[in-house]
Amino acid sequence: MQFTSESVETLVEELAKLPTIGRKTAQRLTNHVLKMPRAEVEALASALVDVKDQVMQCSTCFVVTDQDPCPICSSHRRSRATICVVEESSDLLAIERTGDYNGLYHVLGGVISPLDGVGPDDLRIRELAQRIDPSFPDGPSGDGAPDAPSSDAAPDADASDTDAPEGDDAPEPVPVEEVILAVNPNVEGDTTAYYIAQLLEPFDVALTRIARGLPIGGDLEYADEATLARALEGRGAV
Amino acid sequence: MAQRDIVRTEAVVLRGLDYSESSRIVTLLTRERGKIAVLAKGARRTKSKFGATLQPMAHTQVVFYYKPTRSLQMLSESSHVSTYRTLSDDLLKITLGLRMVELTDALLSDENPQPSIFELLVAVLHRLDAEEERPRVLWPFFQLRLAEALGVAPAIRRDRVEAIDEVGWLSLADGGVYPIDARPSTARKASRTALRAYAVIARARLSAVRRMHMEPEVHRTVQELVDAYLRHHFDESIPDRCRTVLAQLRDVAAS
Repeated sequence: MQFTSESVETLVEELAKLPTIGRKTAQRLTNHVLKMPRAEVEALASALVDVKDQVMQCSTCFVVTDQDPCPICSSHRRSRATICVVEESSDLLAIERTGDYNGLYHVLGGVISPLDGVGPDDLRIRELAQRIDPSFPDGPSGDGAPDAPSSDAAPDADASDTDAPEGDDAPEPVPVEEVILAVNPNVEGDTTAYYIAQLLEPFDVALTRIARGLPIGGDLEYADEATLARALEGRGAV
Repeated sequence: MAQRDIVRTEAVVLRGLDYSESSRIVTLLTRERGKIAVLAKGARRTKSKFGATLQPMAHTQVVFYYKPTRSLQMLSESSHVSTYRTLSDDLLKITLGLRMVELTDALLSDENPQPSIFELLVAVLHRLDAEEERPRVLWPFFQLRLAEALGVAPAIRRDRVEAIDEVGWLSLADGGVYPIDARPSTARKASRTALRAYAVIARARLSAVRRMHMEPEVHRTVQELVDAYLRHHFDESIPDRCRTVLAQLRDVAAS
């Protein structure tokens, strides 16, 4: 059913375009917006516009950021010999939250998914190789990757404070010694990992992948065979 | 009131699609109900009870609530019937396996049980997992066997195969091979070696076809012949997305 107000109907239609938002939910959100104070609605509208106007991708690691290079890439405190490869900016934030990683990142902008028609040329894989060896040839890679930020959140303010550059000097370039593949443990993640492994094989760089197996707090009895097999493969000394 | 059954059946995962915050819509090829879409609630959570059982190509035992009035059934349980040893550790095997599930998904209609196709897919995926030397030949074998199960088996006749001299024809209409002087109306010309290899793949059992050795050039020609035959019969149903991506993947493998 359509609303009697054209502007209400327009808002419902626009909200319903968002992922996981159906028309019913869009109607509920619209009713909520109608009850919100004007100042809050203006703040919401302004935040939506700002995210398109001010947020960009770091030209080095392709994370969504307010400055280029991003605070992580321009930080002097970060180890420049290690690059952690993630699928999306939200994955970078998840790793940052651990506080256990002090290297740089590379955001692929997705993952190789043959069933969805997403190939290496749609991702920032060639750019990764160029960070390891600047003479790596240019190609069509990344042409299909999003230029504008996606729905991922921008890097949080805490990270920016911690990694703020200490001066105007750009950090010295350091040869990359290790590339950590932090892609999801699924078929698409496996495909991407093996592709990158083949691509980077000629370079003198250690290639590792984050461990796959049981989650902390999980129950061995209920783990499926494939997960348990991976956990056994990745076992370590106590 | 619509009847609701609890269905327990073997399945192969054809594809998955993220849905809402943490769920997935998964397309399964089941032994009992054919191709069916199920909603796996919470499947993307780290501690999901479904674990790795809903990854494409997985051979699983599933339990779902079946309601004939809805197109998306609710998945209740899923556990591995068997797991693969090397299929997910090898880029070539992953891509070949994905092509098989993609083609199956594209050519089969929903809720039309075809146990022979289910058995074929399971057998070829497990052979692909175990294969160490020549996994590539399993792809044209699977294509032709799937075509056969769907009613368009290549009409191979030994006398015609033997009659081919240096070159001959593949009939796109009946999938048979013909000597050069007996050209069918829609046909592809190929060498005797390629046409004989095509005929063997079309007729041989899985255990035999894996022992076939083909030179790269012959393999390429056979693959073109099989692709042309399937395209002739299924045309718009043949998926293209996987093929485009795989061409990019092959570039790095060849470099």
